[in-house]
Amino acid sequence: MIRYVVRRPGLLIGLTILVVLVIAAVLAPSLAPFPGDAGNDTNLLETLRRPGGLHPMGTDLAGRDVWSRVLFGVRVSVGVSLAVIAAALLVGIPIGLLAGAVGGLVDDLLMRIVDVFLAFPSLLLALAIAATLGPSMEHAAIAIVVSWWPWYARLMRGEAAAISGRAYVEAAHLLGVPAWRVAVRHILPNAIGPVIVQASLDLGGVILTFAALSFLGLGAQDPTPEWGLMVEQGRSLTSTQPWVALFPGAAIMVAALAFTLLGEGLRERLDPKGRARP
Amino acid sequence: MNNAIRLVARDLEVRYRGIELVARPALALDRLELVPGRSVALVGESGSGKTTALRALLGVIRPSAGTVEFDGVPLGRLRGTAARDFRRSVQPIQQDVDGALDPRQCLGDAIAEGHRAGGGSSRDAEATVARLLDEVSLPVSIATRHPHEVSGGQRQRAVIARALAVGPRLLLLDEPTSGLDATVQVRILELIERLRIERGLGLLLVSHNLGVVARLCEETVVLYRGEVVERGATRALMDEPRHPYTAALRRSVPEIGVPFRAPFNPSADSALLDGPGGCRFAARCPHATSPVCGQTQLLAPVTDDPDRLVRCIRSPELGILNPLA
Amino acid sequence: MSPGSPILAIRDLAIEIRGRRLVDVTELSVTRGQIVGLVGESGAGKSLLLSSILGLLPADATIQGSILFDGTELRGAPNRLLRDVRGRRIAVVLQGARAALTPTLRTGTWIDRALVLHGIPAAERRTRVAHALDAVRLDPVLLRRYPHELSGGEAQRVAIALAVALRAELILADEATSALDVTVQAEVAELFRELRQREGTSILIVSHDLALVAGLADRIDIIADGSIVERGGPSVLSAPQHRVTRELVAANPTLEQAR
Repeated sequence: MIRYVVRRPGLLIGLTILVVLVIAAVLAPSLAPFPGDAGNDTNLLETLRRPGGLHPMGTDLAGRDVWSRVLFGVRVSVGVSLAVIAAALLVGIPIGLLAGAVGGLVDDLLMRIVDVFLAFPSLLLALAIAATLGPSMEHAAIAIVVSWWPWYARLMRGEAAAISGRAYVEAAHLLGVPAWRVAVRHILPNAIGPVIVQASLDLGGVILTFAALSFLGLGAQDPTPEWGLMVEQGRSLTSTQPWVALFPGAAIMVAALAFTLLGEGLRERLDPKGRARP
Repeated sequence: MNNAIRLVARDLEVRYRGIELVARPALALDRLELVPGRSVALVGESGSGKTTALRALLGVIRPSAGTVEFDGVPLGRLRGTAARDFRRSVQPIQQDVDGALDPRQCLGDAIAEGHRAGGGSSRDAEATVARLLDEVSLPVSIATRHPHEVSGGQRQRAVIARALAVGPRLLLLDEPTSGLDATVQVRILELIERLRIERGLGLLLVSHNLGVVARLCEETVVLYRGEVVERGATRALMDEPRHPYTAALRRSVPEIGVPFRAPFNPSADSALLDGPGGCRFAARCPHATSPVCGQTQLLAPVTDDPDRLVRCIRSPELGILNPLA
Repeated sequence: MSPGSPILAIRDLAIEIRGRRLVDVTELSVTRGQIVGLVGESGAGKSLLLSSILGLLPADATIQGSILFDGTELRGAPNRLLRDVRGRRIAVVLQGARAALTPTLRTGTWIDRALVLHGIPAAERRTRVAHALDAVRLDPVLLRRYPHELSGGEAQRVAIALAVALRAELILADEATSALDVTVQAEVAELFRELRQREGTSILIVSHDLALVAGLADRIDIIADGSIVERGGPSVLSAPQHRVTRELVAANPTLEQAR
């Protein structure tokens, strides 16, 4: 296993960054020199300090330590993105499985519903939800889940429909195994591969989307240390105090890159049909 | 469980959707009866309809005409416990080549699944799996292996064990030995034979190989392009075929020590090529003559043997065909 | 049967993959106009041996020994030479020939392109194809079909037709009839015999079906664990010496025995 990873630099980089992110997420309170700055603390005496000394990444407009906020940001940005993907999978996979395994009218009906949802781009939806309910991280998350799950449903449905035609699935039906059990025990594990791969590739994308929403003011609100929001807050200062936007921006890129690399590595590991090699 | 079960197909016809315009169905089977203790062979090549027949008997395909009845009830009307009994009494053995085993499921779990589906409890699953593996001559250690980790012959045995776990009285086998090495084929056939005797099973064996069929089945039905062309006691059919196709099949089976024979020497009468009503074998038949072979052929009993049927208008005059000629 | 110089002469062939010796054949020859059958179970090394003749071994395989085709050494030969030999002088017919045909080309176009590839001029292509179709008893109307519209037997015949059109001197048939119906298999076997008779083609048939090969080949070589364990004319099967041969013979009961 180790030899496998070492031979693939992309996977190695992705895993390394992931480990770093996990450490940051778990140990943020201990690693951050100014944990309160990720919350409500401000220090107006220290605003816009250059990176160095006490503040390795400088301070922002409210005098908060950027490094501490970036650290805590892992929990927020990556954490929410993981939750969003998980939620989209939890909705999309059962619907796709049902449509693909049952087929016929159920399939048509479900896929038509999926098509309706697919018509909404996440940003427009987020705008609509934010306009109606008020901007917040939770609402942005909901918007992304609502626009993301149909992709998984459709992908799952395709795979499930293909697997349903396999001889061993028919064999299970003919043995007398109840239909739901056949779907869960035989169709689901064999069909889910490509969906998981897509989800891991999407993680990078969701991080970016979430950051974009927050950047637009539709997502996380101050003082939440969400990277996209932090970039927005430093946007007007890029020529004079670039570090305010630079470091959270870099964090977004690094995290997105890591997940994309991991996703590619996962895709390579699972063979094209979505079944893991022995 | 009712031991005296019967699965009967009568005047079975299967047409494929969208091809209604074609005059002839993919399968037209006059009668087929399966009971425990008897074994019947369905012999034919690609396009003969033999797999269609097997799937219709399993209820996977709905007939366009005719019936398939289990203990007197048409398959389409089986409900509740009766439907469950049907599934448990009649089990297919697929060609492994198509992947009849879930690649992610270890063999022991596959067999245990059959056991549970047949009404067995999880408590004695492990013991049952061990017993069945022994019955099909597989080592118990194979239970933790996955399909890709074992040989083709072992996979086939595992598929048989899984089907047996349900407790069937009838086994419907679709080319159970194709794709396997010759020595492995022999052992699988020996296994099937032993199981049939020990468990008193009824068999339907679908194959294109007369050698396989001759070993296991008392009765043989020969199909050609969807029609029954000859049927009767296997031994009589093989030694004294009356339909030219049966004779050709017999000639085509390679045998050591028997000189090689070309299978067909078609007659030159091209006017017989696939007319709407005539004999479907005419284009390849060495005895085809017009106009008689262009007329509708009926399945008729051979004189002095009502159980032996042939669909060949020239049969009475051709008599017994020598396959070795 | 026309005796002649060997068209194929294999000497001291050893093929190893990852340290395991999978083929170890001291000698195997096919003379002109001879049909040789190589029979063994799966894993015996027969397909690997066939692949090595054309230099089509997996990247991690090592090979030693000599493979002479009409006096020319094929092992380690430059690609230019192998390309000329492959397909034109040595033809391969595989199990499921349909997969060897290009799915987007009509079979007639496919054959024509192959002939063009080997430098046959236009007028000659026509005559060769006509002759090949006749030799293979293939209805010309099938030339207009796409591979998926052909039956298994028809696809096999197309592959053999190409071999004839290219005037291949040696046909390597790897389980060429295994996936076919038994009557179609008999027809293809008959076709091989006719080719040998009419065109003088040599044929090396690899199969696990001993009975099929017995009825067809002039000489049968039994291969097990990478080595030839017994060889002889078809009569060798009536008094087999080696254990593997005996097992293979026993596994092919005659229909009389099945009583």
